[in-house]
Amino acid sequence: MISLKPEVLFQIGPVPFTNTLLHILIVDVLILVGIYFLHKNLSKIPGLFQNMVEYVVDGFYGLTESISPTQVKAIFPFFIGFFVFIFITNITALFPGFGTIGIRKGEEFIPILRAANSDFNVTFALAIISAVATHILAVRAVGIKDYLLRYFSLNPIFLFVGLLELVSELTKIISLSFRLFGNILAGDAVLTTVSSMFAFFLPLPFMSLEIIVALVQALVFSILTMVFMSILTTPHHEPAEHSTKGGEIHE
Amino acid sequence: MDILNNFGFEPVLFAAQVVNFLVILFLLQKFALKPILKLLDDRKQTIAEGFKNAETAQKALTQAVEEEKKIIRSAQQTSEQLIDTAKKQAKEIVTLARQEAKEQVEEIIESARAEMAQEQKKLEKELAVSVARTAVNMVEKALVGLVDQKDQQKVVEKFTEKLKKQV
Repeated sequence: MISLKPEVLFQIGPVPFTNTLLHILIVDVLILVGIYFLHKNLSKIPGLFQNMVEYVVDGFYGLTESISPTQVKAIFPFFIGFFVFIFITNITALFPGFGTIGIRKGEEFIPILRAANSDFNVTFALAIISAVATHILAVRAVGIKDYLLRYFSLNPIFLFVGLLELVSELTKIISLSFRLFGNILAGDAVLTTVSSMFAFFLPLPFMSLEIIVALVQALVFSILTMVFMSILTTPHHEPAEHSTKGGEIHE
Repeated sequence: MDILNNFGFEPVLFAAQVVNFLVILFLLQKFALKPILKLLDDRKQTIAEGFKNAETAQKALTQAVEEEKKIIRSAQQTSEQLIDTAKKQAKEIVTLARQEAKEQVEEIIESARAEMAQEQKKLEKELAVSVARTAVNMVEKALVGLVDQKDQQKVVEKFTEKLKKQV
């Protein structure tokens, strides 16, 4: 049975070293090796790896530019950063050994490696970073006054709308973190259950499904972040200027 | 917070994850994204410049071809004019030469004629002189024995004078 909490492998002082932390470190190493390799071999005539990276970077940059042309330079690093990090974390969690190689302590089985995104700490951290970065970018893009006007107004109707907006900011964090956490944990649980029923061939369809989930969840998280950033970095009164007089009342 | 704890929320681990991701994001941005975006931008510019250069070259080529055609056309015209002028000049020269030759021939003929006439006159004179001499001789010979020597001399002298006058 998969627990909600990650298993502690050992303690370093007060810090518990969990199996998800080990996975994150492996992912970090993979990303750093990738960055090093890319940075070292960067040339005007690209090789296979550089070509692939350029294709992804160019595609993501174009997508960001089409959604938020003015803030593309600020939003893009977060967009692709979340995607790369979550996708590599998800996809490496499907490698053999995850959840299967471990230590048995009496009745309890502790896997050495576990999908990092099935640890709420990871997804919550990512969601918090996404939210905080979104609000910092928003303040920088529209100014503190316009930023606060989104949530607080003297008009009671818009004050209520502002409060709803505040609640929605909280739900954004919850939805981002729990969506990723739930999907990966559920996938992990399905794979473990199916594998325990019959370890050969039977998990293959579920495995391919999980590969799709790995990609889709990474895309969902990063695209949502990008969209939230794009919405909040757009000046609040802008749509009202050419639609209704609502903006003027709101101001 | 209890709900979060139920899901395994651990402040230390949470903080570790935040720091971890921020570090990775920073490194990714600094050493991968920035250089790649710069490279892509440079490449775009290079391609745009290439296209521009190609267009300029194409334009220059078209201009050069047009100029070449113009030059060839003007050269043809000039050469045709030159040929025409040369032909005209040649004709003129030939006509002039012919005229000159004609004039010279006429002059030569004229002078030849004059010379011939002179010669004829000279010959006629000589012939007259020789005929006169012959006539004087014949008169001298015919008078021998008919008249004395004095008369004979007088007749001959008178005859000679008459002949001189006539010739």
